[in-house]
Amino acid sequence: MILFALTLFAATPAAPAADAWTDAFPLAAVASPAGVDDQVGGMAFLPDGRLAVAFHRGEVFLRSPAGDWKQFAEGLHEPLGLLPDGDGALLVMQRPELTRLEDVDGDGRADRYRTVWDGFGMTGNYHEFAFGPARGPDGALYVALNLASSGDGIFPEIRGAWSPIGRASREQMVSGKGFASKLAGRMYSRVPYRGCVMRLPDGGRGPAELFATGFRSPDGLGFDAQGRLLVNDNQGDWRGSSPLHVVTRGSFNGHPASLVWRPGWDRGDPLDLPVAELEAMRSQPAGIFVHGELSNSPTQPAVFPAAWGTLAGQVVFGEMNAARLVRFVGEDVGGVHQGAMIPFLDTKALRNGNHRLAFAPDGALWVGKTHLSWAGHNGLVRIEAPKSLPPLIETVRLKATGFEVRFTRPVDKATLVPALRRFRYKYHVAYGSPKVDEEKLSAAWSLSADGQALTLPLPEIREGFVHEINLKGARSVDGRELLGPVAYYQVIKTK
Amino acid sequence: MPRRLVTPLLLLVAGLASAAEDGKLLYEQNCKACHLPDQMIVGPSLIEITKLYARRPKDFLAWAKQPQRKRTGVIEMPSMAHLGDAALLAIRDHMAQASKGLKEQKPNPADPFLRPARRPEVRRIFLPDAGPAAIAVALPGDLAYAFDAGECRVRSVWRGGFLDDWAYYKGNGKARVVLAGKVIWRTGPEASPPPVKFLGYAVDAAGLPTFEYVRDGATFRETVTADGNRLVRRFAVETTGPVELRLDPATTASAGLRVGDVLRLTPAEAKAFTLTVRLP
Repeated sequence: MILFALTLFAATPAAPAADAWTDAFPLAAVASPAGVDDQVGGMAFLPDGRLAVAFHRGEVFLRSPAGDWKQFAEGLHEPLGLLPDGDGALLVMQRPELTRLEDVDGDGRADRYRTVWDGFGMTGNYHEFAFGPARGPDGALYVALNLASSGDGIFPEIRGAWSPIGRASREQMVSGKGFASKLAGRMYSRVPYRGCVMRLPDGGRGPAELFATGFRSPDGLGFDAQGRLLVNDNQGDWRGSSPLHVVTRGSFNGHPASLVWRPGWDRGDPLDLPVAELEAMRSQPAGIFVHGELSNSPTQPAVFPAAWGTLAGQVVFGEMNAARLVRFVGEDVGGVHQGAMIPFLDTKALRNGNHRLAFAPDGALWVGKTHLSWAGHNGLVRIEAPKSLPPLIETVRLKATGFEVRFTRPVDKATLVPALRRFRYKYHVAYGSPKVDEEKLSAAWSLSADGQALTLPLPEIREGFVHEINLKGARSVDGRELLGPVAYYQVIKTK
Repeated sequence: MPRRLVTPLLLLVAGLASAAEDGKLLYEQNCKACHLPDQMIVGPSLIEITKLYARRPKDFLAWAKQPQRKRTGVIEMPSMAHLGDAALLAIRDHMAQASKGLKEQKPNPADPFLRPARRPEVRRIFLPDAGPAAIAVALPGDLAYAFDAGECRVRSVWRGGFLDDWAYYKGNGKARVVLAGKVIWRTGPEASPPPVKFLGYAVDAAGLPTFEYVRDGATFRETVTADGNRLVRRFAVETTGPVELRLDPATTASAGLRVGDVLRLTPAEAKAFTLTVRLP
């Protein structure tokens, strides 16, 4: 092999438009409570305007609108979700259970840690995180359970019934070394409901039921403005790029390990099933967080409130690995929900580790950060609701003849150079996927007279493909940069 | 107009250089989650990677495309084969640039949030000698115990400090907690456990917990305190039938009939009784 050096010209990525983003959406760090490891696992506003935050080492604090922190609870095991439950009570999802924190004597501190639901298994594997709860329009609570990881084995003692389905024995899994974890599958489900979304009817009072299977590491669930359950997942095995799923009852959402918990499952090890069969069974993601360019580790969804103008009702997600958030603009096409992912607050000023999102009563977006030793950050950031929206992609709609992109501000036609391509990802056991079947597209585009609607006719739209619409360099007619100028539209159905 | 910069690329095959690769961007998109310039986090630092592969681009490519588990307690890297050789070498080049002149930092040498245990204090965390749904309780004095919320039982008692938990908290939950004391009493998993349901716990003004659970149809409230060399387990049980508990030789009961290692209590006796564990 001959080794030699070459010198190449390489374009650097455009410098982040920190000024333009933060001009439009002023953001500032918020002081954390003193002496607390301020990695945020759960965060929500109470009706009275106080902010409740659950931290990495198990403390829950309440922050008054004036900025005073007061401790409410402590001692929880890796809380990763928090939801107010009336009467000053808080629901917190921690590793071993969903807990209701109650202040019975009214002194401002929880004195009752009531177990709402702990009917799921734990092997002690570090990756068995527990997420949620999200409250559905049906009054039920929804929680999601992470799979275990072959990055480690399991404890000698477990909670819940051990599933014999799998290539490694329980003894091999306890040893946790070498071939045993290889045999386990990269991510595995050997105790009940790992990799599932569970429904707890009647605000957690009813008996738990398995709602959906097929998840890997679903660190983000919530309901959109129309009451759809949105659950995203992290790139990895069976996840070519992080997907967003609109989750329906009984659905299988792609990662096979949890299929063993389907009632009546009699097909043995799901990893032994032909991929084509799994492909036919799975529900397709409504959106794709394009790995590398957009998001490597998406987190909690939140719905923009009225203070955000025409973005109201749209969904925004956190992102752990990059200093940005992601907007999702969905629509119903052919009976399914699908749509476009668009970079948002794509500014280094935000930093990474964007884990939990909550909108304050005044419309401000609060972001809680974590890392848990992976890429990320810590602390809290407050982003003001905009006085007026800067130039943004407002929506992307699939039409019979192509795509229509709407802008929040009239765009200068002379600055538009739409670059289009499509690609998809492999559905396979391997970790991640390259983009495949990648194709550049061209469209005889046109801009509406008001400068706010870009029409991109395409001779063919392909199902199962991400269609990228890149408008980098576009400016509004008043000379401002189009912020977040790329949309990745995942087509499940063309009509 | 994007700024241009010169990126020297070391290439195995000139034909691979068709696309200009930006090592920094590729590193940020694909590697940064687990590799820092000067510190081991999930994977080794860029300093260490650069040292390993300074003169071995082929080995770098081989590793990146087919990684293996090499270090104890460290997760296997996912394959980066899909990036292609040119991109991988651009990343390698960036790693060398980004770590140049830096000195390897010891990761998190001490816990910046270290504090003495409040006594009493409740902490749910992975503990030795218990199931994964474990709860550690520090009692006033020098005793602490593990309550297993999966089995609804006290599992162990230790004397000394509370928990050595920095390794656990600085990571993602993989490292085990070490008890900062000497275990002086423990009980193994039950051979044939009765059906149990954990209901949670209440804490008093001082923070002392009272655990609540259903065991074999009876509702238990259990408060554990320390009394010198004894652990005092105070119970209030609501039941319609008799309650049976298996006791170890170090435990005595304030009520009920003991035959061998089985304590039998009538519903009336079960309303209020204590078990006292003599500790060394």
